Amino acid sequence: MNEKFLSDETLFEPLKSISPLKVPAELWDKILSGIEKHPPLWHERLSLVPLRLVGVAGVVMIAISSIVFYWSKGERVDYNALNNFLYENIVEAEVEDQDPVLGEENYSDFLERDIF
Amino acid sequence: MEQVERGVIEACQQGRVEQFKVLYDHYKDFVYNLSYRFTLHEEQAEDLTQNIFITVYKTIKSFRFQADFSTWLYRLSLNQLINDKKKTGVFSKLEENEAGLERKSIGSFQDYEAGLENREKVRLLLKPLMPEEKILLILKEAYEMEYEKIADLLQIAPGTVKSKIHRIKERIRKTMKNLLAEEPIR
Repeated sequence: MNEKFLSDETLFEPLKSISPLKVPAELWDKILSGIEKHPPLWHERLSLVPLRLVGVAGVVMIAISSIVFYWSKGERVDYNALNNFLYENIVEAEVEDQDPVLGEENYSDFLERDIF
Repeated sequence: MEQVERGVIEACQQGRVEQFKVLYDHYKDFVYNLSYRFTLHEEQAEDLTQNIFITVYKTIKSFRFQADFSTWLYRLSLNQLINDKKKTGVFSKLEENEAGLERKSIGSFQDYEAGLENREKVRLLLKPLMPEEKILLILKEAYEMEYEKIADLLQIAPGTVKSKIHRIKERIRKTMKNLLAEEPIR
């Protein structure tokens, strides 16, 4: 008798025969309150934001800002032109208006000369 | 198991609770009955099911549609069952008490057959097992799964699954043989 009882078919039969149970109706409410009780943490909230979209938008903004800066306020200084301008308007002017003694008055004029 | 629609899962990933209810309705019987087979206790099964679905809600964003959702849910449920069981000493204490009562009523095969309810028989069978071992036996015997499927779910080699289940069964046979050989305590 024991051999038959200890065979796979008989011994483990009760495991197969457990009848399915009906899920209690109030379980959903418990789950819902569990979900609401544990709102997503800040880093979990962050992951809800479409980060890839934000990343692409950021790169585009940086690119546009760079271009605008380059072509407007941050326009590159042409050092050669500046050099020439300074040379022509200051050095040469000094040479032309060479005065053995650069007086106080002339010096003030020189300082206030509008070169830009 | 029939799959839930992809749109439902995507909506759940965006945190839409009304769609999560759809998902819950679809899988609640499966999860609850898996939990019940594991604990053999309705309240514990309810608590476990609650924990599993809350975990699903929190982690569903990590589902990448690379496997069936039911496989993902199966794995998550099994992990949760094993971990919850390890964490709570309450379960094992309760089971010990219940098994202690059953223990007194066993004396012979006839007593076992006639005197115990199906649930009590299962509890007696599963009592000497660790949570992971219970899962293996339940999947093999209650759900009649192939070794390969169990191996896939638990991410272990099929050969390991086969040998573990064999050892588990042998251990249960030995325990039952000892129990039945003893005189009943009445």
